[in-house]
Amino acid sequence: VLARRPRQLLAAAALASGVLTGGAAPALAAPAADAALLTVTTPAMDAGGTAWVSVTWGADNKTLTDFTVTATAPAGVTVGYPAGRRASSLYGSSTLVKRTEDFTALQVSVAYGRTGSVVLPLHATWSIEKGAGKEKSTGSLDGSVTIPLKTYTGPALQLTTTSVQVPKATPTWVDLRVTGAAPSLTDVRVTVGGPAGLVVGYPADGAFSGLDADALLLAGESDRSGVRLDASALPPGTYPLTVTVAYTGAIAGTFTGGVSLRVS
Amino acid sequence: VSRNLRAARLLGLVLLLVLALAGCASSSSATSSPAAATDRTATLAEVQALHLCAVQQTNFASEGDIKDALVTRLEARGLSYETWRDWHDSLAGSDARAEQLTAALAAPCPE
Repeated sequence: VLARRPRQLLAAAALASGVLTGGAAPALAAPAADAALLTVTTPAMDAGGTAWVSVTWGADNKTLTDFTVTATAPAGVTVGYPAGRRASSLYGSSTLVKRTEDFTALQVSVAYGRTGSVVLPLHATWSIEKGAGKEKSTGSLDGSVTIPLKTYTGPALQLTTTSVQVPKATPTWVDLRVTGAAPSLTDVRVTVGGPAGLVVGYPADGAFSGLDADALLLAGESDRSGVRLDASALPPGTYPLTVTVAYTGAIAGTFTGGVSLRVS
Repeated sequence: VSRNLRAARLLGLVLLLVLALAGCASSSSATSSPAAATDRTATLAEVQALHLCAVQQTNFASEGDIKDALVTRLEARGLSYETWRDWHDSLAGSDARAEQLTAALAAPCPE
């Protein structure tokens, strides 16, 4: 992580070549240091997870327009760009003003099982307007950032529903809400156990209930699962329910939590 | 006596009106003076520099979280995201504002 930001980095970092498109450059001229990739290492992310990481760029003494960044995703890594585009630019604009800095956001997903770090190659291009004549030169930079990986440890998810209530007279669908904690869980299946006499039903008369949005639960994502409770054989009162959430995929396992059932 | 009283009241009202107008004029000049505008763009530059620090130090779960972090930082200074956008769009055409940002970027990031 770049703590900040010595301007000298612009001279020292591996830099960009400026390529004149509108005129002849001296044959052996040194490449112009128009821009620099200032981020060397991003904050760490979980293997198996998805995160928006940022890379910072600095401009030297020229304002760079049409700033465009693409990344080459290595195996086991996918890269997405803001708003589903095919490339990224800078935050809030595509202009990197002279002697300032700005950043590019990239959505990076890393497969489970990867360890160590990901080296993400980046390619940046830009234009430089040369006066009022609108003649432009272009430049580009190839660099890379390192994304350290960590392995998630901790509970796979949280059961955020603590209690449900159903009338004794009428079988009722209730929502059980879960929030993902592990980077991603797939094929999530919810089942409920309760006191003798309680009849639990699932969608389509199945043996479990899935999640409402889809079968995937990402870290921080909240979703709900519906179960049908028939408490007609139970006296009014409060009963403990056991909620079991099974998941498969790269991380496979079972989460067990408790919910209070009130029969009225 | 009554006429004098009415005249005194009228004079008092006129004085109050003059004072109120003077106060408004003073307040208006305090918020729109060149110095105040410079202070505001310097604050925006500082917020932008701190936002750059934040994105270097943190990954975000969603694209919207990046904007939310900026908005939170702006609102803590009494600024809106729209104000920030206008300022950001103006940077390329204002050497003075760009220099303010350059100066703000020279400060170390908070730990």
